[in-house]
Amino acid sequence: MSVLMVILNVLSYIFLNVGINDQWYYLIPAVLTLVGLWGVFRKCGLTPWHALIPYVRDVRLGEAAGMEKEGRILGLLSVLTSLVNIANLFVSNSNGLAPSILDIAGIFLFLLLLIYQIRVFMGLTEVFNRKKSWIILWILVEWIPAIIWGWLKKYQPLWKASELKNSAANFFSGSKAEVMDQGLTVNLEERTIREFLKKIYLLRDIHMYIQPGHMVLLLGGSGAGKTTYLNAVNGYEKAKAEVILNGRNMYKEYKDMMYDIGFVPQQDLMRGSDSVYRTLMDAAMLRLPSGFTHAEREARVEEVMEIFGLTPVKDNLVVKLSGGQRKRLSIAMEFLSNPSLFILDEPDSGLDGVMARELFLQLRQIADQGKIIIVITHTPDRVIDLFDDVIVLAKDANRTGRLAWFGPIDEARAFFGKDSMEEIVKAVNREEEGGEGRADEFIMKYAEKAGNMNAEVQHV
Amino acid sequence: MSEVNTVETKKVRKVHHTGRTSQVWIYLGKQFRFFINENDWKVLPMAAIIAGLVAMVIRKKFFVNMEGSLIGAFALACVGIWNGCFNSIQTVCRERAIIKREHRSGMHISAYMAAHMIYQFLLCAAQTVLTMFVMRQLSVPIPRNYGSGIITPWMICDLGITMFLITYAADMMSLFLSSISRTTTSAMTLMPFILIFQLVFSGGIIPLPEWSRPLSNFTISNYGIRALASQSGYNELPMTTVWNTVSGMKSSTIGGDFTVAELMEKLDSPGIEKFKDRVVLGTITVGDAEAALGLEKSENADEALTNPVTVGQVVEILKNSEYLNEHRDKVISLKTTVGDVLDIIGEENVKNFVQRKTAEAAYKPEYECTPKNIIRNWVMLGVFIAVFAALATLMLELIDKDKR
Repeated sequence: MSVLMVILNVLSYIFLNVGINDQWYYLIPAVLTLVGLWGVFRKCGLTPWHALIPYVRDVRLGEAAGMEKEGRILGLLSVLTSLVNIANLFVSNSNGLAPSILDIAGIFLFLLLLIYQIRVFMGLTEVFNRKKSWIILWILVEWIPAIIWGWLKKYQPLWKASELKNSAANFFSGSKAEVMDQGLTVNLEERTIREFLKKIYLLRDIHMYIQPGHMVLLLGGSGAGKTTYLNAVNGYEKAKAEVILNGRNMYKEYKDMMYDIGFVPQQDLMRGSDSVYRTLMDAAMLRLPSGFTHAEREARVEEVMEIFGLTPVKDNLVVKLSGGQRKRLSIAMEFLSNPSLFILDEPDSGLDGVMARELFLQLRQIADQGKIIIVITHTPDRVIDLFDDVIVLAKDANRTGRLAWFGPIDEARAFFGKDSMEEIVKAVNREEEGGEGRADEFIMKYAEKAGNMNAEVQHV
Repeated sequence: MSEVNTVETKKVRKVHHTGRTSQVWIYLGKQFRFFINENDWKVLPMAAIIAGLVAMVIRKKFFVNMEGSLIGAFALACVGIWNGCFNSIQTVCRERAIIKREHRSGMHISAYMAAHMIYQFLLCAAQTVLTMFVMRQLSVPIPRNYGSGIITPWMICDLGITMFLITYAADMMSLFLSSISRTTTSAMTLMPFILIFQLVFSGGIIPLPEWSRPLSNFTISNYGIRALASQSGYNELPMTTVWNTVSGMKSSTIGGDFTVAELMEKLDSPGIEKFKDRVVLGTITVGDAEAALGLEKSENADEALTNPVTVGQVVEILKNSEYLNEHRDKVISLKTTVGDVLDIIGEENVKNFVQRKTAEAAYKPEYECTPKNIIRNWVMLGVFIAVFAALATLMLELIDKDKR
């Protein structure tokens, strides 16, 4: 093979994923795909000529499909596939293991590429609101759907990737909550994860001060980051934040404060092979100071079992308990050490209305002892009278959890112009989730309000 | 933008909570309740069944010949590794979220791991006792008399210690894998690779290419097989494979058709040349002739009748033979069986020779049956136990970094 042919082949593999050694008519669909993608990118508000840049077009296709991570992986897989194809040009005639290893690598990459293409095309069908069966065409004859979706007026995306740039995603309150001697202050700048070399913001710009004795409802649509927020507050999954409880930094002094914080996770994280009594006694051994005698521990366990209605099932194995009993046991474990801050993630899941109400009444009683209670629940309206404040989290256009409200319940109703908590959630949920899609509006409105409030506090 | 007024860290009187030692007891209790209530006890009958299956395969040859001992050592090492791996591969990862919750409520990872180590120690010991009992009941020829052991007075105790160390080392390795796996699925996906690595790179049965031999130093199976093979007296046992093959060929016919010319050409071969001075027929005296004829020994019985005949002289006679030269094209058929040849040479002689020579060739210094060698392998297994236990604890200390 001449040097010119090798260079042409390499360039062809890079730009079109097709070698010019292959039959010439393979080049036509490759070029048509680029033309089609030009149109798709234009419709999705992305730079159209990015379709011509190898590897970048894969990343952009992921963005157009609302699947950035998959797009980036697709780009990387394309780079690797090109490298393997190019390496094959040089070693295909050689003896030894190299060609076989490249063949195996090629098959492996092909399978991965196929999986990620399917994922990206699935996203694209959602964006263009088309049937999933289109994916087959995208995989087998990419140029046909690319041309149709890219150039026919009938095929329009539900939302554009470019819309993200002009939304609440780039609007921040610029204020922080005051730190007091008593109560809980949360100044969360961001909670991020790294996904394939890119920083993804899960939560951003959430600041609040919760008074002692307040019972706070945490509200938000699915995926708004409620659990992530709770985990960040108690340091279960740390964020770039400052969390101060009664004047002490929870992140820095957690070791000394752990017995003062009760966290009931969403799942019932207990061992099924232990009995209720044994579970609580072991929890008491861990959580209560070593100065407690065995009798004192036993007394505390008996007391907590009585409070949470677990005495009749004290000898039952955890695995045999009902969902509600398990949930109460999970709460009781944390309640043993009488914490100042009690965080509960969906404590009423699996409970009927009456039992849930009873549970929240118990939590109200605990709050009345001067404790702070933060609760996530999916049925807020039946117990809303028991809460003092509500936190509303909403997804901005970047799908980052943001603060749309924190404050008293009545003010929240006025702020959102809604009568119930469920209506508030509906207002901030995205349209494709059956909501009103007004999250950005409220995020910006609250950020402005919080900024003004902060200015007033400074003035005072 | 307002400044955040961070409150100075307050000095708070430290309240002490349950220490590590007490926590070890808490978690030991949980382990034993798990053993009873969650069917963890099933690993014991499983160990007995596995031991029974292996014993039925190895019982005829273990401690009998080299091949049997090596296969037996390999099979027993596999049993130990298998038992150890399955004891603990899921123990940590199945309750990872619970561990994180408890760690954030005051549980010490070192106490948790110490409880696991104690519990697994007892489990492995019970499995080893069961394995050795099953081996004994199924008549695996382990020497039973007092003094048969190399380190302890009984060989079964020596083997038991090795089996326990293999099982416990594999158990700690699995505990480590379990502590780095987020889910039981990922742990169970990882395990076959580790098992294959342990078995293939053990260096016992499967011959390894030169480049991969150092890898066997990183396998539990390597030291386990070495210890077991040493204890079975591998180097002192006969090797029977080659003799069994020859013996099995007794009825096989050997030989063929040759022309006189072909045979005469062979007379010039270097092989014959090498033995040309060897005497094939010694001096025959008058006494020999008298004895052959049944006559009484005469006075000149020591007088030589013929001179000694060498191979070279016979070759010369054959080469110069007119008769043979005239019949060069004549075909001679020579057919016999391996059994006949063995009868001529002496079957017992051949057997002893073959077994001795093949055993010499198969001698391995790493299987030397000495206390020093066995203890060295035990120490290496102990190192695996310590390293994996330490790594498991270190990895689990990072559990707070777990994300959903």
